Order: sequence, then C-alpha cells, then structure tokens
Amino acid sequence: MNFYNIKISFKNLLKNKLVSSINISGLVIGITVSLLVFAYVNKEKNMDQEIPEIEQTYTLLNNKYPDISNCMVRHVRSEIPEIEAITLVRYTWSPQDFLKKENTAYKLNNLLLADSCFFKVFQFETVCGDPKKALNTADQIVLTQSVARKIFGDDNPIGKELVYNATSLQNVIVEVGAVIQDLSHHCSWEFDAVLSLETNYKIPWFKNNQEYWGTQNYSAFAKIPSNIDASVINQKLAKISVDHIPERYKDHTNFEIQPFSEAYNELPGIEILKHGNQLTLNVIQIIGFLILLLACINYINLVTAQKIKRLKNIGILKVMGSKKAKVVELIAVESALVLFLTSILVIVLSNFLLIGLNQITNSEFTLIEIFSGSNLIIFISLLAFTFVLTGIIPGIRFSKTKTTALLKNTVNTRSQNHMRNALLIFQFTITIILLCGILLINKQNQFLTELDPGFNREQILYAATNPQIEKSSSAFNSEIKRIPEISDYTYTSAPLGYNQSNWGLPMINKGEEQEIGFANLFVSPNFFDFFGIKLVQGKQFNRYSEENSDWIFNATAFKQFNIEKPEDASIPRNGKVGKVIAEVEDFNHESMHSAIRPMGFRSCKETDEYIYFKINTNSAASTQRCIRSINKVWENISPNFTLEIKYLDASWEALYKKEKQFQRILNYATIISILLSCLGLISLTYFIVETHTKEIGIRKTNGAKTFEIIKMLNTDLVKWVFIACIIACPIAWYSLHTWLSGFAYKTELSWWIFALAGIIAMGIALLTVSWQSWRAAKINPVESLRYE
Amino acid sequence: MISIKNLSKVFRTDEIETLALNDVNLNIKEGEFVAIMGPSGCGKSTLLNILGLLDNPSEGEYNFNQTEVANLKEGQRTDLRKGNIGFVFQSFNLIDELNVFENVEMPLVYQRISSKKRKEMVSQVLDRMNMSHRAKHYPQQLSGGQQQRVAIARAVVSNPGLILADEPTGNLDSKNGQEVMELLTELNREGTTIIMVTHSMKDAGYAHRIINLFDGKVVTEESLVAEQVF
Repeated sequence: MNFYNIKISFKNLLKNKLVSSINISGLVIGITVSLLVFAYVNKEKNMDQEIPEIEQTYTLLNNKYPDISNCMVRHVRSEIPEIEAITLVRYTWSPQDFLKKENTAYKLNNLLLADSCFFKVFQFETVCGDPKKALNTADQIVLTQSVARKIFGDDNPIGKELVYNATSLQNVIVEVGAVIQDLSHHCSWEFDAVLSLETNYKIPWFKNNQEYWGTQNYSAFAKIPSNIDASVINQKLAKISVDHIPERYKDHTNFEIQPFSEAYNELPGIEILKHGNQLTLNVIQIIGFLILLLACINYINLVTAQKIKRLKNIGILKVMGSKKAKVVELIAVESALVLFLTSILVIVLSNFLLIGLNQITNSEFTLIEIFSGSNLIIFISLLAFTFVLTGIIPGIRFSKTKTTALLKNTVNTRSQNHMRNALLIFQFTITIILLCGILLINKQNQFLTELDPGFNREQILYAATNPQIEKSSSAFNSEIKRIPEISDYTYTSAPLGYNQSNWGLPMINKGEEQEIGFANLFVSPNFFDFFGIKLVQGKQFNRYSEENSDWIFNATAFKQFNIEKPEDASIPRNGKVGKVIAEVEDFNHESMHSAIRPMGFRSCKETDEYIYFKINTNSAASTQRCIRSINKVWENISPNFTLEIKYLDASWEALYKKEKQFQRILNYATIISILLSCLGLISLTYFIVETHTKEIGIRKTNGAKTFEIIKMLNTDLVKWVFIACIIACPIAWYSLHTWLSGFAYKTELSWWIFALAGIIAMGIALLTVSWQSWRAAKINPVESLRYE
Repeated sequence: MISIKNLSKVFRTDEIETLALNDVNLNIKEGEFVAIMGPSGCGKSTLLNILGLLDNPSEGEYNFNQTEVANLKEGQRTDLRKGNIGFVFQSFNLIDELNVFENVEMPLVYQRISSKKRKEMVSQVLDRMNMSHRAKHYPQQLSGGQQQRVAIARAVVSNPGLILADEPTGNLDSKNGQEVMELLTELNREGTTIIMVTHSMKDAGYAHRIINLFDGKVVTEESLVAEQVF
C-alpha cells in the first residue's frame, strides 16, 4: 500500500461530498442506534448477573404465583433442610417512611422489610458492617451507601441510632447494622434501606398476621447449595407434607422454585422488583437488527452504485499498467478509509445519544459499556463484513473485468438492479409495519386515556394519611371542611388504580357456604357518591356499617358468586356475620390492562390510609391555594409527616407509563427507519438517474416535458412501495393483533391505520425521489445525450 | 424556414470559456438538404443542437418558421419541437427497454395522440422503412442499419418539416450507410428539410449545399446543384 492510494481515496470522497456524507451518515446512524439498542437489550436480558452466586438463587412460587406467607416459608424451611437459606421480603406497609437524625428527617423512597436471611441470599457488595448479621434482631436497619452518606456524611454509621417513623410505627429507635453499595442499573432490586422484619412485630395485627397461612403478602427467595440441582428441590417441594397446612389450603399448595435471574422478565407479580417486558424487549431487539441491516445494505448498495461511475477510472489505471493487486488495493484502501471515519463518528455519536438512552430507559450506561463485550464483537465484525463487501469483493471483481469493458462502461449491472429493488421493497415493508405500529399504539393509548373507568377523576386530589391524622381525625376533618375550595372528601384503604389486594373468605349464599376471592377496599360511607358510582340494588353504607361489618359488592362479584339479592349473602369473619347490603356498578379499580375483578367494600372508620379531596375550582391558582391550605392543616396536625399530594387523573394516566415508553421507543425507531429508507431511496434514485440519463435525453429530444420525465422515473417507485404495502399489511395486522390481545380493553384495529401508513410511506418516498427526478429531468438533453 | 444572424455559443466551466460558435449567419429554405462539415470540435453538433431547439444560443438571433426562438424557455422550445423537428443520431439513441414499435411511437405519445391513431401512424412508417416484421424486436436484436432505420422512422413518424441528422452513417458500414442516405434523400424529395452533420464527403454529396465550419465560424458555403429547384 502506498500513500498515492490514500490520496486518491481522499480526493474521491471529497469530490462526491453530498453522496459521501449521506452514505457515511446513514451507516453511522444505523450502527450507533443498533449498538445502543443491543446494549440495552443485553442489559435487560442479563439482569442481576452481578449479584454473587445468582445461579444458586431462586424465587419460591405457590401455584405459579410469587405471593407467599410467613407460614409457608417456615413450612418449606422445616420440610426441606437442603435449602441453604430462604428469605421473606416485602415493601414497607407504610405509604411514607422517615429516618430522623437529631432534628432532620430523611424520607425513604423504597424501604424493604426482610428477615435475617435476606443478605445471606443476596450478597450485595458491602461498604461497612456485616449485612448477613445486621438483620438478626428487631430495630436493625441496613442502608445503601448514598442514603448513609446523606444522613451521616463521611462518619462511620455502623452502630449509630436513628429514629424510624412510619404510619404504623412511631419514634422507633433503629440501629444501623451495615451499609451496602448502591444498586447498579443491572440489578432488578430497587431499595434504599432494608429494615428487619421483626421491627414490625410491635404492631399487634402485623404480628398476628404472621401466623396465618393465607397472609400471602410476601415474596420469598431461596439459596440452594451449588451441588444440589434445582430439580431435586422441586421434586421435594412437589411432595411436601401437607399435614400442618390448614384444611382449606391443602388443595391449593403447589410449591416450586424458579431461577431468580428470570424474575425480572418473567415474574412481574413480584412488586418489590423492577421488571422488564419480554415482548417489548423482543420487538426492540428485532428493530435494532432491522435498523442495522437497513443501514448496512443501504451503504453497500450506494457504494457499489457509485463504483459503477468509476469503472472508467479503473479502466484507465489498468491501461496505465496497474496490476490486479493494485486495483484491489485502491478500492480496499478507499473502503477502509470510509470505515475508519465511520468508526470514529459512531463513537462520537454514541457519546451524544447515551444521555437520551439513559433518560428513556432509566439506565446509567457508560461509553465503555457500549463498546465492550458482545457489542465490541458485533461492531468489529460489522466493520470487517462491510469492508469485505465494499472493499475486497468489488476490488476483485473490477480487477478481473476486461479493461475494454471498463473503459466502455459495458459491465453488466442487471443483477444489482434486482437486488436494489428487493431492498427497496424490504425497507418500505419495515417502514410501513412500524408506521402501522405507532399509529395503533397511539390509538390504543388514546383509547385507554379516554375510556371511562367508571368513576370521576377530574378535580380530585389525594394523599396518603398517617397515624397522627388518624389520631386527630375529628379535628382534621373539621379543618378540611373549612377550606373553601374543597367541596367534599372521602377515605379509602388503597389508591384507586393501584388496588392489588386479594382477599379469600368464606361466604354464605342462600344458606350454602362457598370460598370467594376478591379485591377488598375499605371506604368512607360517602365513597360511592363522591366518585359517582351508582347503586344497582340495596342500600348505601351508614354510620353503623363499620361496626356491623356490612359488605357491598360490585356487579362482577354478584355475577361471579351467583348472588341474586344482597340479603341472600353474608360473610362470617372473626366471630361476626357481616351482611351484604348492596350491589354497585362496576368500575375499574385497577389499570385497564386487566378486566374488572370481583370487588368487596367495607366501611372504614373515620379515616383510612388515603384521603381524597374534591375541589370546586378549575383554575391552577385556586388549586395551588387549596393545596397550601391543606398543607397548613396537615403540618399542624401531623408534623412528623410531610404532605405528598397527587392528582388522581395524573396518577391514573401514569398506569400507562410502560405503553407510553414503548410508544416513545417505537416513535424513535420509526423515525430512524424512515430516515434510513429515505437514504436507501436516494441511493436507488441516484442509481436509476445515473443509468437512465441517456434515456431521459432521448425522451426529451422527442418531446417529453419535465413533468413527464418525473412521472416516468417515479412510476417504478410507486410500484415498489405498493408491493411493500401488500407485504407489510398482513404482517402488521398479525403483530398488532397479538399486541392488542394483551389488553382487556382494546381499540379497534381499523383499516385506515394500514391505509394511512401506506399513504405516509408513499408520500415520504415520492418527496425523497421527486427532488432528484426533477433535477435529472431538468438537465439539458444535449448534456444527457453526450453522457456515455 | 431557418434564419440565423450573428449567432454565438459560449460554454463556461469554472475557469475556461470556450467559444463553440462565433458569429454564425445562416439561411436555410424549406425543402433544402444541407450538409454541415468541418473537423472535430469545430461546433457542428452545437449548431445542430441550437437549430434543433435543444439548446439556446448565448447571443444572436434565430428565426424558426417565422418565430424568434433564440431566447425561449425550455418548455416553449419543447412545444415548438414537438411534431416539427425530428432527430437522427450517429449512435441511433434507441431506448433498449422498448421494442421497435414503442421506440417509434414515443414522440406521438408526447404529442398526446390517441393510441388508435398512434398505431396507425407507426405501422405506416414502419411499413415504409421495411421494418414492420421487426416491430416486436428490441434494439439489441437488430443490426446497425436496421437500428438507424428505426431511428429515422421515429424521426419522421409525426411528419416533421425538419429532420436534423448528426452523422447518421457514422456507425454504419458503407452498404447500410448508403441505404440510410437514400432514405434521407427520398424524404427530402417528398419535401422534408434535412440538415445533416457529417464527416463524409460521400454523404455530403447527397446534399444540395455544404456549409463548412472551422473553429465555430462558417468558412465556406458551396452549392452542389446547378439550377435551383425551389
């Protein structure tokens, strides 16, 4: 290789500035985006691999669900001694948790309650102290490094005391037992502190609940020794003794263990973990591959199309005595130069796009992470592959072509035409499918947001209450009534939209006892009026309802449990028989991903976990004034707890966060895909115009006008895009139909989505091409005819 | 039919200015057969392109059929060309993807003539050129002489008053070349004006008049017919 070749290559690049830059930028965008996508997919597929001995860690399931009670864990522990350690974990009960040091309170975002085995099963990296022993007794807490630093600065926190405040526990002195490293974004755990479970035993009902087999409010994780296979444990679990299990649960006990590494993507029911979505991930991965494929094929096509223009130059070089090897070298050097430039630009662009990626995916990727491991292999092999296809193969081909054929430009390019047309169809098929995708997802999201869940959401604020408010409920309620902007208020035990409670109780219906399962909600007597939920039959709660343990069920429950009239049914519980007094209309108490479940309502005391305020004003200023007034009352009555007020309509919309995120990712993917398809089109038109220059001249000489030439050049394209439409529609229909089936409430998969996607694709294609066609058609026929 | 006064054409690139035609004056009457001769690069083809309304002159006047056309826009030139001027090129300039019939039909398509009428006109002209049996063939399946006959058929299909031929025999052997020249002569006899650029003295011998160009200027004009037949 000599300097001469590099010089010629550089000159060539600069000569075709526009084409070279379109060409390189397409490749750079394609490679960068797909590398970022692969890094994300890689991360999502290999969650938790950084946790030591993760391959020995398993999730305990009962009837395929991860909802476990303390009794179950004790039973499994005693029956299967081979299990090295098994831990019981859940989020704190309290809507708010604070740690106070001296006079400063620090709010915890995610507090876990776990038994002493937690850090034996999950050996997170320790900063100081011994986490394995830190949760052995009540009133012990383990902090993450950033929380420890926030509270203690650079002091050693081990053995130091803090005051813990929650809704159920007040002013409990806890001791810091250990500090662990902050959790990385490769970890599905998300917490800032872990409190020993026994700390909560101070609450009587909490302690009592530990003795019920049916209190399945926990997740459990087990570690088994490396020399024992999971199947052995599963066999033992399948045959576990049911002697000590309460009668009514005996038939419903089917334990098994599943690798913890699968929990992130496959067990979304574990609410203490972050989760991915397998379907979304697969879609994103496929899109990544397609983008890469589009970019590479585009690049290769454009480069080979351009090479045809240079056949004559190569012919001249051969006449001047250039040997075969030298011709190969020239083409190869040029290709290497472009790819070298591309690699640098890919790194630069990745660095820019990282910020966006981290924002969309809530991750903390670094540049080194993007260019390491399998990604580095993909990157290098991609460059090598492109180098062979654009450098070595054309080089060898040209070196073998007869010099006279090169000089006369009679090298056969017909097979390349077919290839280019096929590529165009392929690109537009993908573009149209993606366009259908974003149109439908948009439509579905719109549908869900606009769909009436059956209760009023507008102008309603809510907040989690606390024990101090509960204690001074009368004073608090009368203060609230005095705020002029508040027209009404009500209490519930769980926020609407987020009620995941699942109760199982015996019910007597027409004298017969049956076991029923339902979502439970404690509400104030005015709850139904407050939210505009109508009574179907029976009577509303009254002020004795709480004492009498009255029940109201929704229509789904009436239907599912075969209750005809409220008075037919009653529920015996804790030695009391609660009457069913009414049936209410159905409303969505969870996100609309799932259909309405049977729901049972009980009347609460004067307050409960959540308070809702109905405000009689639309203006933002009055709303803010109202919030300030509430805050004032709040601070007076519960100085230990800050007011965290939320808008009900906003939190209802937040239930569709994942769909919105998916929509965003798909939007970006579609834009990139359209961009790459346009680049492909530009290369194709460039090629068509190059090969039709003379024809254009002949036609113009014979009376064709500019418009007629543009029409001629565009007709083919319209044909290819139309074929792409025909291929894309069934594929898009099938995939979107599958996606929609995941929703209980779904929008219609209308025909216009496909038509619109086709029209958009066609429009974009015509816009891209017509500019070039117009330029070609404007050329003076004298010049076109001279063109050989 | 054609009257040119003080016509010049300058080609400009970034640094170089080339004077292709320099102050050319020329009159061609209807029904004439004129040959333009001269060495390579003397401006023959440039003159032919301007005469054929494919290009505008840089300076001067060009009167075509009593219309001043020197400064027309491209669209206007196209409209004026349609049906009035036919072209024959050295390299035939047939479109490879179209068969003989379609190639000949092309100018009629752009004149918005109905397909029935087109069929009639094309058949007629192909008959005349003895090419009817080749109507479905593609250019690459024909000999050079046949291809040029097709090109001539295309040039005359719309009965233009003027045919411009740029070295029509340049790519042909002598036998085929003679055939083509005889065809042009016949067309001329029927009243079509012909302007032909050629290097061949023999071909020029078919013309009534020879115009010699040198470095963009008309150097001599010689008449080959003793008595004026017009």
